[in-house]
Amino acid sequence: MENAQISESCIGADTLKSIRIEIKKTQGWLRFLGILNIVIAPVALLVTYLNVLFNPYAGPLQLVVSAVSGVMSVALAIILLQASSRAGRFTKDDDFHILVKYHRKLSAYFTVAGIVIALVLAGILLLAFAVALGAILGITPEMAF
Amino acid sequence: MEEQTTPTVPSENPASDSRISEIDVLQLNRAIKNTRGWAAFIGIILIILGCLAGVGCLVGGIILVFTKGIGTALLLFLGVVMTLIVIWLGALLNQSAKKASRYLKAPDEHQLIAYHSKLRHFFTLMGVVRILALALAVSVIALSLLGLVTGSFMGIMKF
Repeated sequence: MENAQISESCIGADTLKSIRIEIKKTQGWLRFLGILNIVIAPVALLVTYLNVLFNPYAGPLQLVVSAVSGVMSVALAIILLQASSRAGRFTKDDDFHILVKYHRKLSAYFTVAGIVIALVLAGILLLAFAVALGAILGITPEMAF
Repeated sequence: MEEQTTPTVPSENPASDSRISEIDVLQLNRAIKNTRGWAAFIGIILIILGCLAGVGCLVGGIILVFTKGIGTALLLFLGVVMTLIVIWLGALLNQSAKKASRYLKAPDEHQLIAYHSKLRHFFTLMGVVRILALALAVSVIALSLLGLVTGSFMGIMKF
């Protein structure tokens, strides 16, 4: 049954041509975003390190969070660069297998980005819950740490 | 039981002998299916965050304009533009997820092209936003340094 549906979804040459045009336009932006993310991540880490070093109110937790976000940013950038490379190969060689690889990279990018966003949201909600609970119980941050 | 055929599309490039088989299309559909869910999730989150930030920005900006003067209206404008861009990014991702869903539900090549087009718009807008943010950051740093140097020359600030 599934195979029957797939045979209906056979992709024509004209469609592939249109897809190639779209991917060719996307490729440059993917590379740009990848390179920018790779460059910005260490700079952001350095700025946070300097902040922790000179700002008495900044703690080591800030550095850990910054390091983790920097690593995730570099991971996303590498996936974007790989997607850009596959996009370039697809537009050049016109190989459908490379189009599949390009889509797998895009899938990986959105999966990692989605997981990071979900974790950040969970962290924010947890923090808000802890702060609300602390306020109800009358616990101040000084008492907690 | 339907007869299973292996549709093939000859490549336009004669140098490449790639043929599209059912398995290839199945793999492509699987990748698009994976992307669709996360794209829809990120899109919805971006729209919600954009709306929340927009409301906060409007309320805060209006309070600032009334308390600190009309000079802070630029901040309000910048904030509203940023939140609109975030909502736009979310909408583009949502639209691409919908196109992917329609393509996977009833295989339509136009939906597949539209899906790619929406993704292109998303990455283009993200790139433009990054360029603008970078330009803004560089100009703020340059203006701060200029102010610092000018202030030190005029004797307003001392190191």
